[in-house]
Amino acid sequence: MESMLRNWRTILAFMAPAMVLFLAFVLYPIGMSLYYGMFSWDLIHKMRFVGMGNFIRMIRDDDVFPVAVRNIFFFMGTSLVLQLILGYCLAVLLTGGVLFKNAFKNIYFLPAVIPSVAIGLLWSFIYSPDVGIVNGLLRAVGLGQFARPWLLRTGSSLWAITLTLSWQYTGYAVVIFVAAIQNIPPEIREAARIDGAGSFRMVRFITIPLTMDVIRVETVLVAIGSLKLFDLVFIMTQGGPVHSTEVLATYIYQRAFRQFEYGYGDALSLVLLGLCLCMTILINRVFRSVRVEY
Amino acid sequence: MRRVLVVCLSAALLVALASTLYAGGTQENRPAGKPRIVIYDYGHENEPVVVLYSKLVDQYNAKPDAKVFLDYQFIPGDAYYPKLNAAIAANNPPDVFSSHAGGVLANYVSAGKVLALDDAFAKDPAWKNRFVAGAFDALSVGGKIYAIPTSQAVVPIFYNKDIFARLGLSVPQSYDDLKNVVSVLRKNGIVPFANGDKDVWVGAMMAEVIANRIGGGHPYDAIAAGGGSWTDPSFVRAGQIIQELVGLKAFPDDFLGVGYDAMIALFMGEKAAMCVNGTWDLGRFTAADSPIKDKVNVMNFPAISGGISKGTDWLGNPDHNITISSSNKNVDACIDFLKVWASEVVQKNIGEEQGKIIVTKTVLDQSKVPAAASQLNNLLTNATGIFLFYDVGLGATIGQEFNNAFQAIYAGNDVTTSLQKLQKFTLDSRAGNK
Repeated sequence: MESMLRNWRTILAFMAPAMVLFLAFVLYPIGMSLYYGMFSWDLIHKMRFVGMGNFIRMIRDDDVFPVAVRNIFFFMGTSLVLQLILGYCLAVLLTGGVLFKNAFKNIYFLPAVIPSVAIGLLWSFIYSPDVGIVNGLLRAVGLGQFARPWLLRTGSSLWAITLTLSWQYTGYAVVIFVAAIQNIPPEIREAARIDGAGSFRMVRFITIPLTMDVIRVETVLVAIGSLKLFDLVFIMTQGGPVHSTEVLATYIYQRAFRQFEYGYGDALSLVLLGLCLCMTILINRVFRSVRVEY
Repeated sequence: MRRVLVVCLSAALLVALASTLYAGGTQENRPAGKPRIVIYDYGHENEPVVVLYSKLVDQYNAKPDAKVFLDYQFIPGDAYYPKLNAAIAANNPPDVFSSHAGGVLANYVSAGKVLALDDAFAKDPAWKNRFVAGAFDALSVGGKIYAIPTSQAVVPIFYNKDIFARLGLSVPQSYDDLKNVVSVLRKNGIVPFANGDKDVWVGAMMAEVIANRIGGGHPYDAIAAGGGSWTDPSFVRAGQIIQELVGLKAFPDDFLGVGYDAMIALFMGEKAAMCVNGTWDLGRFTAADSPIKDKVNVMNFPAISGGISKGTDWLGNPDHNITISSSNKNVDACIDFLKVWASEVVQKNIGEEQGKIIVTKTVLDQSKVPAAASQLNNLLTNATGIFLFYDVGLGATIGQEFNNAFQAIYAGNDVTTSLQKLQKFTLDSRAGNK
């Protein structure tokens, strides 16, 4: 059995189905995207070669593209702070010997299993200026002057969506971090405790360094997830008002599917792919320098 | 025991997976041997025209001598054209499909995807003569007709005559009158126009009417012909008037977040007194279960002083047009089905029950036509022409850009800059398509 599993032919045989699917549904479409991004096409007429024209247009003539890129980096930044830091704090608290730990873990994780469309609709109602809970609560406690149409004003709509996004995925981070923290060998903790480490030092010098790998993975997931964000923005604001909450994914949808500029949409999605890859490499680089082993 | 459980669970999973392979697109009662005609249509499930279309398809399929089986599929909302285009690109187009007129149809014509109907008309002149003069104007490209209309839509201002009567308002005859009506309504806590601009084409309708009142049809016609400019003074002035109306709070608070459905809700809920909308919704406003069925009436957008047009041109288009794909192998059967739409019975349904403007010479029983529709017909007796919605006439690419440009103007952006950007986009898009 052991020798069978080490045989490279066997390994290849087991990996082959997954590799075929990966090639067919991931690598091949990306390759075709690279090709189509250099054309202008509306699906009905013949494709027209424009070379780098789509990319030049993106940078030079497009007003919405820089807004979309700025917004996805805004979401990435705020998500990293909210989801990672809050998630880690909650995980530390939960593994610190609190009652009903599993119940709390499940409650925090619940939003992550609800479909994004349902969450988007739910929070659209919560933020609704007339019937929403947010404004209702503000008015009830006498802070009615702060009540506003959260999703309709340029300033507040981005933060409103960020809050919903973090509400949805912080639990995900909590679950992953709790598992990682629980994997730290208890002997190390005991040794640290004997050496006089208080809670804060414990977290800073033991917990965080020993879960660095998991933190790295979660950082990549959160960063990529927010760069690719589509569903919440599409449901809650459609990228409005007037493109102020537009993200790259919703902009691709508009250009390709509403205005039939599929070549341009392709070029935009290549930019999104490039951004995601760059962020992944960057994050891995940053974390490589902080690896610790005991 | 555990193994049994595992086997049972795997079997259940397999069954669930396999059942999804059979899901969707079942055709009950499809008679063997009959070729299948695929029909794509846009519309929502309970929309009157979709209900009518389904009924006509079922009636056709029930005929014992039907030569083909009609498979009717409707795709609501935004997803229609992407799905249609994808099917065409995959060389698997539907045999019959619905299309908007003007530039949208011309797009398919220029790619050779639709069949000209002139031969069919030549074989059956009586069919063609049933249509009113000008019915095919926006459905012809290069002198050939490519689709039949099922009704005509125009854009009046729907208004709640009870609210107007209560506040002592009469139909505005000029733009100043309109501004007065707006301020009286606002003072009394009623939203003047239900229109928002979250769905960009809604706000664009009003802009197009205003532009027409100021400059007449020429500036748009020039652009549609390949020349002209969006920086024409009539468009600039239209933008300024829009911003003036925004300043007067003519639209709902935070109207940039009010979409099409919300607009309908505001008007039908009597929170707004007026609604610039197309006659495709007239049936909805006058339906038996509509709260405003006896209160709704129509008026024309008034002339604007200094403008060319007296208000006799109407924004609109031939609505819900049906066209035949050029790769269709059963053209005769499809033509037979198309002819059903021009029949007396169907036209009466469209004109009387749905309250729409019909495109044939059928005489309607005026007592059955909703009051608002009769009033509209009165207003239309002086009509000198119909001008197309810009995103229909110019096609989706440039048309949507116009809608977006005016959304920016509604939001307060500088009018001239927005129009200059639109002009640049139009020129670039057209240059690229040569």
